[in-house]
Formats: sequence, structure tokens, C-alpha cells
Amino acid sequence: MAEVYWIGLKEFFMKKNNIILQEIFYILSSSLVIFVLLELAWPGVVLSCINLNWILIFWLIIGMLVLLKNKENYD
Amino acid sequence: MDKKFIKKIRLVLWLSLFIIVGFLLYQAIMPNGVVKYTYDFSRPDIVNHFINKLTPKERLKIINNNIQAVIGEPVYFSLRTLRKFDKAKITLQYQNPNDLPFAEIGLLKDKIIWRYDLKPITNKTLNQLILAWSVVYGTNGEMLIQREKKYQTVNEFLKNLPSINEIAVYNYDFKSNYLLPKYSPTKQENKISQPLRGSYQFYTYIKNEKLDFKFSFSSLNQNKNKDSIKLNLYYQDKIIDSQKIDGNDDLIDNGKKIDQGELHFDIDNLSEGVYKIELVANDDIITEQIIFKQSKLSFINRLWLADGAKNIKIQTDSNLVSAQTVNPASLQTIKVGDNNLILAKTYQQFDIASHKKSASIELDKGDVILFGNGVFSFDQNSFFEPVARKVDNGLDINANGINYIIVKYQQPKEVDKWQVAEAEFDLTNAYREYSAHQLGYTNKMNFLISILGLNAEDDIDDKIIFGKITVELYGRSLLDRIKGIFYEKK
Repeated sequence: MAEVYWIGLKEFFMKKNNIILQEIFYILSSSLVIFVLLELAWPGVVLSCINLNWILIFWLIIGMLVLLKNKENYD
Repeated sequence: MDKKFIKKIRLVLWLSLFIIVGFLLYQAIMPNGVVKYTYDFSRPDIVNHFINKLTPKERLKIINNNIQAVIGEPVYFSLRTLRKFDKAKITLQYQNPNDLPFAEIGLLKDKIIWRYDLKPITNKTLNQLILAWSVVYGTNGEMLIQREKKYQTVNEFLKNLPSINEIAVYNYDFKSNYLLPKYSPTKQENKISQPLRGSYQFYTYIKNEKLDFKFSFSSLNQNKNKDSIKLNLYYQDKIIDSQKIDGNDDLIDNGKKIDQGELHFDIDNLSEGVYKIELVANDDIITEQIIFKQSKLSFINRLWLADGAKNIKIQTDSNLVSAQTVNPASLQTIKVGDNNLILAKTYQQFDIASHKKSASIELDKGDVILFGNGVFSFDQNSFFEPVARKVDNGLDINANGINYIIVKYQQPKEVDKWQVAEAEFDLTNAYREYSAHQLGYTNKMNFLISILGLNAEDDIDDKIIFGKITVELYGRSLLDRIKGIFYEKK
């Protein structure tokens, strides 16, 4: 039963992953802008809790995946 | 279907972002006004945004299990906070394998004259006296240590004070109305013509006379500073008058000495007692001469005799005299009482202990900084010590005839293999560094840890090992702030 559910979920995300990746990319871009602005206005407020380097790396990876997924459209 | 799905996923992601931003703002505002930060010295790999690493590196050594040992003093660390706090309680976990006798932790209060508010970590003299002498505890955490039990309570002692020469204090705000019974004012003009460099503080005594001090200044222009000069006059620890010379806005470091002007304190109708004058200036400023009509004048703890001073004779009651120079031409042998203090290297502090109540210091040339745990005077007749001595490692209790010690001191506790000391600081007038153009209140405060006798440049393998520093900060809660806004408006 769990296996069927897992396969269903996997298929659903295979179909939707393009949308999910795009949305994550948008939210990460917004997060970066918001965090940088917050850090400029109130130094330490973000960097004392979050290392922005990791968000930047994650944002780059997601960005590249989005580009790869949409490669056919560009071609 | 796709549109509905996109809406759902957007809602989840944006909600997560708002929660994160809310959490970050909560951490910064700390609405309850209390926060606790810990720096673990055994985990130097973990970046702590609030408590910075100990510096300078040359005075630290990494020993087993990544633990940091301090091998030279002083060492510094800074504390960054995202909002203003009023009080800090610092807990220091340490090991003292070499049984070093005296350590203090201090908060920087003034960056021009590098004034620190020092609090005890450990004081071996006090630890021993608490065991050997009679101890009476006060209601506000103070302690009276007596050679022979005469006073039953601290209040009784404070109401019937013995002679100030018999009292020593430590970390206690001791107020005494010191009066010189046989003092009579002179109209004679006195002069200190040995040039002095940088800031200093001195005591003087007034009785039925004008306070009359004339200072002449020059600037060495060695550093790009504004070269402003401020003189503060204190009576019973309160500033009663101030005078200043505003520095030039053109920051010059051409090394050409220029006249910086004069300041004159001429105040009448002052009540009898001890007054303190403080010069707040950077190290470019030279006091060329001080002309005064008072007969008592004693410099407090530190005196930088400028280049050009010759054949200097100074009287001191310091039991530990230290000297340092930055000028190779000023290396010399300094006579302290019957002993010689050899100033053999630049940028290094040399100490000598004097077990006498007072001693004379003789120097051939200037550009030497003198430090001591007492006062310095250029003239035997003008020498006086109007305050109770501080119980530090240099104080010779027997030679100075100390019979009573009033302190606010907690002996370090033993927890496992560590010793734990606590110190409380009032942060309201701490020196703070702010980031430029910020909207928040992010600020940085600086602390010092001083361990007497610990020198990184000597061949002795002595150290203090630090385990953890915990800082508990207390400030106004958000509710109090909001109430404050309305109250102030009304």
C-alpha cells in the first residue's frame, strides 16, 4: 500500500517538478533580496542565524536545474 | 489544476519565508529583554556572531582538545548585540594551573584614554586574607575584612571610619571625606615643567583658596587624529567643570610639533576637599607645563613623561612600579628606591616591586610611561594619597599598614575541574561601536581580560585555560519601551 502511495507521489512530482523548481527558485531569489536588505538595514540580524552562502549555493543549483528542465523550450 | 497547485505551493513557500523573517526579527528585538550567549573555547571552529574570539593571537596557545590557553596579558574579546542592553552578567569558566594570583575582566568605557571598568576574576591576596583575618558581611554583597575584629557590621565601619591609610578597597565604591588637618593654602606659584604626553589624572586639595591651574599644550602631529583636548574637574566623583580645545578638522600626521593652546581652571568658592582633574587627550598631545597655586598634586596610577624631559625625580607610594618605552633612545636604568629597574627593550613592560611605603623614582631621560598601583608626584611636599589603596597583587598589606579591607568580591567557585567566576557590568555608559548607516541598533562592546604576571615574551611556561564565556544580557522589554514612548510623550 505504502509502495503504491510512494509511486503515485513520485509520478505526481515528476510531472510537477518543473513548477516546484521554478517556485523554489522564485522564493529563494526573493529570500536573498529580503535577507540582504535586512542585513544592510540591521547588521547581524540575518547573519547571526543564517549563513547566506548556503542559500546562494542552493539558489544557483536550483537555477541551473530550472534551466536544464526548460532546455527544450529554449532550443 | 496547475494553477491551483501553483497557488498552494506559493502559499506554503511564502508563509515559510515570513516565519523565518519573523523569527530573525524576534531574535534581534528580544521582546522580553533577556538573552544569553555562550562562547565555547573548545570549539574554535564554530563561528560565534555575538562573542568574538580572543585576541591577539600571539598571546594564545592551543593545547590538547582544541582548548585555548592564554599565555600573555591582556587579551581582548568583543560582544556584539543586535539591540541595546543595560546590564551584562559574565560567567567565566577557567583553569589556573600555575596559581596566578590576580585576574580581572573589564569593559571598555572610554576609547580615548582606554578606561576599563574592571571586575574581579580572582584575587589571591583576598582569598588568603578571607581565611586569615576576621570577615564581616554587609547587606549589599560587600565584605569587611579586618586584621583584628573591631567593627561588628559594615555600617558601623562606614560610620566610624579609621584613618584612610589603614583602609584598602577592591571593587567597592568607597566614599570618604578626606581632609588634611594641618593643611594651609600657599599663594606660591608652582610649576611642572617636565612635558607630559597623552592623558592623565591627578588629585589636588583645596581649602579656602581658588583652584588655579594653567595648562599649555602642543601637538606632535604623529597620528591622523583630531587632537581635541578636554579637561574635567571632579569633586566626589562628579564632574563639576569642564574645559576643552576643539581639534583641527584637517587631520595632519606630518610629525611637526605645533602649539595647541592653553586651558585655565580658575574657580573660586570651592568647599574644602580633594578634587580630581582629568585630561582626556590622545597620545599626540603634550602638556608642556602646568602652572598652579595649589600645594598638593599627585598623579594617579599612570604618567607618560614625554621626550625632552631630563633628570626626573618622582615620589611614589606604589608597591609595584612598571615602566615601558616605545623609543629606543629612552632605554635606561631607572632607580626605584634602592633598586634598579632596567628598561632593556622597547614595547615591553618591566616591573619592580618596592616593599616600602614610599619610594623615589629617578630617570635620566623621558619618553617613558610609568605605571603604579599608587600615586606619583614631582615634589615630596606636594605628594599626598587621598584615597584608599586598591587591593591588587602589587599592594603590600603589611608595609602599608593596612588593617581594614572593604570589598565586593566573590571567590571563584569550583565546578568539576573548572573554576567559575562571575562579573556584572553596567552597560549604560559602555563604549559602543555602531555600523554606519544602519536602521537597527547593532553595536559592539569591547572587553579585556587582564592576568597579572602573564607575559607571552618570557620563558616561563605559565597560562590560564579558558573553557567557556557565558554572557547574560538584560535590557528593557518591548512592552516597557512602548510604555516609555507614551510616558515620555505625556
